[in-house]
Amino acid sequence: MLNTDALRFGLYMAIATIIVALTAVFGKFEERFVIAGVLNLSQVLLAIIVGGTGLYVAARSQQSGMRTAVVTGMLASLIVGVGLALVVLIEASIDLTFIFPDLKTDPIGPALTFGLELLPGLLALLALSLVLGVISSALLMLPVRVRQVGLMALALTVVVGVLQSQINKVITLPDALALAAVGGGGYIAGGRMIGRPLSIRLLAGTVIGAAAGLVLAVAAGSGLEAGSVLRGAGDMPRLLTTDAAASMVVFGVFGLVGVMISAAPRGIFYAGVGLLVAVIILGGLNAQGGMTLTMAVITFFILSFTFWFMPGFNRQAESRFEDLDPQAQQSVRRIAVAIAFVLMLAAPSFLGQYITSVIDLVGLYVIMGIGLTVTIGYAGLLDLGYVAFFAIGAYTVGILTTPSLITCGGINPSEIARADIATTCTGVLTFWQAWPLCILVAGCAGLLLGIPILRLRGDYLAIVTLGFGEIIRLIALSNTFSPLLGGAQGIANIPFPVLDLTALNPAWRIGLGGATSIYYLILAGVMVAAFVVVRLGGTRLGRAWRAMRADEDVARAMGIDVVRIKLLAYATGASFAGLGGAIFGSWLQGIFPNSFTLLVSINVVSMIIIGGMGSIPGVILGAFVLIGLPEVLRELQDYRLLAFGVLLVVTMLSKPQGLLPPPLRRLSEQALLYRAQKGA
Amino acid sequence: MVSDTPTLVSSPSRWTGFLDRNLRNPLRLVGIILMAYLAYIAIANIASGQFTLERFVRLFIFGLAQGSIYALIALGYTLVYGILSMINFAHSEVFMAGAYIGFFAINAMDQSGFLDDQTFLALLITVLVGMSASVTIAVLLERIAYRPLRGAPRLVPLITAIGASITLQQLFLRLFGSGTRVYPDVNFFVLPGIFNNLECIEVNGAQVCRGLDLIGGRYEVEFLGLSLQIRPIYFLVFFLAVIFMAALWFFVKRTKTGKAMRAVAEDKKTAALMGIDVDRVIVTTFVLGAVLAGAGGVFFALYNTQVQPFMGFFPGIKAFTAAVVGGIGNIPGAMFGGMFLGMVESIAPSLLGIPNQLRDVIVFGMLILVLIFRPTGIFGEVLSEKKA
Amino acid sequence: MLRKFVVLVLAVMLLTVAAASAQDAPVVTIAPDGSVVIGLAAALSGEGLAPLGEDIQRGAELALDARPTVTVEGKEFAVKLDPQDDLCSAEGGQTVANRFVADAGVVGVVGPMCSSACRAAAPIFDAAGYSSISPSCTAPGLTLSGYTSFNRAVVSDGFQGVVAAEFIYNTLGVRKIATIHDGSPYGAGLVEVVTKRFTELGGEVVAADAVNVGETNFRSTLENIAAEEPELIYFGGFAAEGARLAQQRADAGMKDVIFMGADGIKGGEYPTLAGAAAVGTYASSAIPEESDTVAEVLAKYLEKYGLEKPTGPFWPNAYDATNMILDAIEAVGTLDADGNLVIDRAALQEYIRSIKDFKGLSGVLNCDGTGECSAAKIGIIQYGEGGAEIEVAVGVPNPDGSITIEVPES
Repeated sequence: MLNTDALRFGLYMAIATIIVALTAVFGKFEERFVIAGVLNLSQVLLAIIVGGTGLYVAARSQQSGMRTAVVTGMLASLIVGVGLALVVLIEASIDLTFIFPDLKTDPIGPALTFGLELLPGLLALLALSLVLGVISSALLMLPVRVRQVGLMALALTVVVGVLQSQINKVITLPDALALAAVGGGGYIAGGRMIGRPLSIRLLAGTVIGAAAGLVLAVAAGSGLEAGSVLRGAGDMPRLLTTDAAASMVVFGVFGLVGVMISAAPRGIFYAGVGLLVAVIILGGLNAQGGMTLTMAVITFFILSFTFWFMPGFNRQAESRFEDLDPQAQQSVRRIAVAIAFVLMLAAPSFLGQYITSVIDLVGLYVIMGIGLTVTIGYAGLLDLGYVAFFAIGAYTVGILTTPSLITCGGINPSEIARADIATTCTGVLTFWQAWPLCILVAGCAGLLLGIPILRLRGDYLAIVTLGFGEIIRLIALSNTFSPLLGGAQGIANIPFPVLDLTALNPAWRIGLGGATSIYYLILAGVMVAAFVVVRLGGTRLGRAWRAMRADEDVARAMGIDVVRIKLLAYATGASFAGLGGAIFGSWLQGIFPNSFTLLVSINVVSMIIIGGMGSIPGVILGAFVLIGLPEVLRELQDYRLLAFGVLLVVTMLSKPQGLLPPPLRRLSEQALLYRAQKGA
Repeated sequence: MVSDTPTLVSSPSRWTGFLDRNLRNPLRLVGIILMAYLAYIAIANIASGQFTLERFVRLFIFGLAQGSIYALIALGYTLVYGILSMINFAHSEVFMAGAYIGFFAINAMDQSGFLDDQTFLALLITVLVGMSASVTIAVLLERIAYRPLRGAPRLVPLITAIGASITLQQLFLRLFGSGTRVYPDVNFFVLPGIFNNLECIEVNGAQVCRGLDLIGGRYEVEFLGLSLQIRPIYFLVFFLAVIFMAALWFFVKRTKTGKAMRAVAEDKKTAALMGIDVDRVIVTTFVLGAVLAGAGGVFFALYNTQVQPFMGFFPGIKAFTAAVVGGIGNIPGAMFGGMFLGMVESIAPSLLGIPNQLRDVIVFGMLILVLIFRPTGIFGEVLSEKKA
Repeated sequence: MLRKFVVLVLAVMLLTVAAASAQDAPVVTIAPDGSVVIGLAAALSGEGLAPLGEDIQRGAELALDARPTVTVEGKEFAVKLDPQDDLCSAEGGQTVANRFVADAGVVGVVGPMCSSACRAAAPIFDAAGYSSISPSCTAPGLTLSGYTSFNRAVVSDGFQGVVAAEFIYNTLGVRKIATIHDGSPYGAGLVEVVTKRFTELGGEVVAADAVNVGETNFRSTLENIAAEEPELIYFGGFAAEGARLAQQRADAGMKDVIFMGADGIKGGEYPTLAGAAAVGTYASSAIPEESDTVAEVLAKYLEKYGLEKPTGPFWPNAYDATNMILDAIEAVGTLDADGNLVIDRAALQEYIRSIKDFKGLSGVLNCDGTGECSAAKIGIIQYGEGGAEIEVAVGVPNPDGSITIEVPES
């Protein structure tokens, strides 16, 4: 009667859990609180593993009746619990610390027996897994929607709790409530004024927001002292205490967001609602200085509310959107893009230096990923040595903008660090003069690499390009070339780009030296790269690339000069990496050969594939997943790369086409093939 | 692809055909000039006495051992590529697992004294433990990370392979700690009758010679007037690798399963129609690759002694290069490629007078040169004609 | 409509620039029940270098175990460590620095661990007025670049390398050496200093090569070096490669050639990894002034983490760096009316730069105002059987900048 398949899964999970336990993760995560003083990450992990197994197994045996499902789920959870109890017992009787050294400092036992004696502790563990199994299998009895909303809200609450230490600095509770109120006000106003023309509605929302901003800014001062209800343990509000003009702008934008989501298509609607919810949660977290039980409950309910009711609101908004005339629909989309753009521009000021610096790194990888999209996504040429061009760009900017062999005659770059030399001789060019050269040099290197491997196909390309990447790194690292390239010590003291607008205003000399200012340079780079590559995709060359990817021989037969377009694909891809390298070098203010390892190439390729090959939004999402995710996972400390590897595998298994595959790719390919066949 | 197959040349004279083919193609011309230049440097170095025969023989012997390890790993890449035409990036972790888990076996036997008493048996157990660890990992990899993606676009399994590689490295790091583990010193004495003047110790006042120390020994040998430093383990690794490879060759060519493997490599669908269990064949392939990698891992650790979770990376990359040099998917190609790469790596820097730091530049440069002349590797793709 | 949004965009940009330029006051305020946070940046998960990073983290943790609170004006505040993985790379160092800078509660930073990370982090810490004390960034250029935030509780390679060269030339009487480094800024910088000094003294560097971290086959490197017949091989790098070189040199017929390294192969894993080959090899490092405290802390280290020996050489430096920051906090911290602890970052920087006669585990530290706080003496040890360390020489700087090598009687 019992589903043995399902129980076998429980057994597999038990083995996996034992391995996980042996990494000492339960002990290490005991100190990391998801909800301060109440719930730690170790307990969350236990609940996810044991409860998740129960739920999964129960769901798999659902067709043989609810009672069987619950019993099976409970048994599966119990098997996992027994597995854990077994590990604890073994640990207590045999000294495992030679094989598993981390168990010395973070033993499994105390973490899983809840501070009890061994035997009662083990019984408690078993009882807990039984209870978790029953609860999680019983979730199946809930209506589907309740279950989904609840689980999603719970999962997100845990994520917010894990990330609290990073995200609670962004905004304070008074700010958040004021912003959410203004957004909500805009939403209601937008709904009320449904008969009016769109422009009036938008204007009304903005005015309401701005007025509220003005009033709040003027009235704010007194109610916001330390220890007052709203402020709690959080920092001083930022928006409410800045000057009136600034808060009018910000609140105006949020009023506008409110109006926008009252009549918007699905994507814009969810983006707007997401923004408002995020603002509320962030503000709440900061007020508490971390996730407390109250805050966790509130977050859970906000999220549940959102997931539960939003589809209804969304349908309403969508039908309102459809009532608009096409021109108005177009302007809703444009304004949404404009708001997104404004938020992007303003992002560094409210995200803070750390998150901005992570986004900077993501942006650099996006530039590279967009370049590689041409080589891999359009032309179908695998390139595992992409880092070479990145390095070439970085070294070009390094050589050209610092005192070097060229300007100061044979000074070893490692000695340029000395301040006395740095003042007497400077670089040949500034960053602004150097970056086009970086692109050029990297592009030429792309051509050079392209030539010897023209006739290779598929996986031979992979290894040759990989070798090329290593060759460039080793040359940069080598003693032989160290007078020019600095050898292992790299090139130090690369000046950061300085935006010199003193011709317009003597005070306008802006150094792009920090994470928040270089952000704008990177943003510009990403936009230009995306624009160029999207446009390129539609040209004759872009179509030729795609034809070549679909079938090289057919493309050649169609009269496409395969040699030329292959070389162009490598050169184009390489030049974007050159640009990325140039920005990278001047951003770090120094380059080291060890930054240019194979891992960079692998990351860029993975990014493209995870995002969905050939799609620019996919590249951006992929970059956030591959570069941003390890930073987010920093909260898991030593386990971050382990979690990252697992997530990489799981993502690819569940979404083999990538997260955001380009629309209609298959169709266009078929059309191309069809055209090619008809031509032949 | 047509013009690159040299056997199809039908010109009246092979020699003029050769000239014609190579001199007309500017790329090959550059390649030939480069090779001629390298040969010139090499000859100049030999002529000036910078590179002596003695040095050559020493480096050659070491290259033999290193090349054998590369060949053993390369076979794993090649087997999987031949059947699934995917690069199993996580194969280097299969190798690492063999060496790492083997450590716990040999260390336990060292602690208990079993290693000293029954050295041969202990070594055998270590190799078997290493192999079974590798096989476990490889089978799990296939089952979890690759099988669900068999129909997916070609690059997708590459990414799961990379993900699996990171996961395995980090899992080992977290399970067994970040410290480097060291294989114990092993002394395995053989043939005291023949080598009756080696490894002599005083036992109760009498001299006892224990013979050749096959694993830990290090001997000064005068051979044909050359003074050589020889470690028998290099030869041992080489011979064991050859035996393993011969066994593999026999398995693929002569057994029924081997035949099934070749059929699956040729065409999966047809093979399935002929009654071959494709899944089982693929698992067998992974197991074979893992057996070789596990054995390679333990051999490698026996003479390199250090094991840590990231140790697979460099040998993995080199072995993959070797597989490509030989012609990926081609079993003799992988054996040859591994040996060739081991030799190049060992001998070329000295021969060409290039700093060792740039050794890998030579290795990858050689790869590019080979592929200019033979775009599908030296031996070409045999197991899978259709892949391109 | 469009024009309106252009105006809006410009307004937001202006606001952003305004917000960016309005820096927070360089003061840390900690509530009475809050805790002082010390950042720690080291490689904790990366390839090969994680043992060194963990060693540094343990050093800092031990310092906090011995001193869990700071006392300012009679009031105690708990101290917490925030360890972050910098992967020993420039990008990693930069990210971690930005992370600490974004967290206004971080008072000071122990680390980063590697010279490239230090180089990338320093401008960021400078801009935010932070203070960092690195336990292991030894590249000579770091204190010559005019960074205000960078300090190190480890001896600069500029000094260590000179002592090594003097020792090789004068004490060992060697005239022909070969150098090998591991491609890290640390190793390459050290070898550069040794080469420079050794040739100045009149010695000859007959071969210079490098190896790659993670590689295992150094035979051909060593064969090439053997052909030049050096009397000594000087290695700049870490334990794994050092051990392999020491072992494989016998295979290349250089069993009797002296092998010497620096603090990268001092203590830690090296003697275990190299086994018998380590016997007779030399290593150098800053030496502690009074050794019984060191032994005491070492015993705690081994007991707490269940190890037979430390996994790296830099734990005493991390221990000292942590204590220096805590000292500085106690010295410059004040209490405001609400009982909050207020620490002025500028004062903290200034205090750390002027620390004198700090008696730490790694020696007596004196900060010279450029960020150089290194111990005054360099000890050179020779490995004996079973990893025993026999002190063979001590390099002492003289006031005129020259160096005396003292050889203890034995």
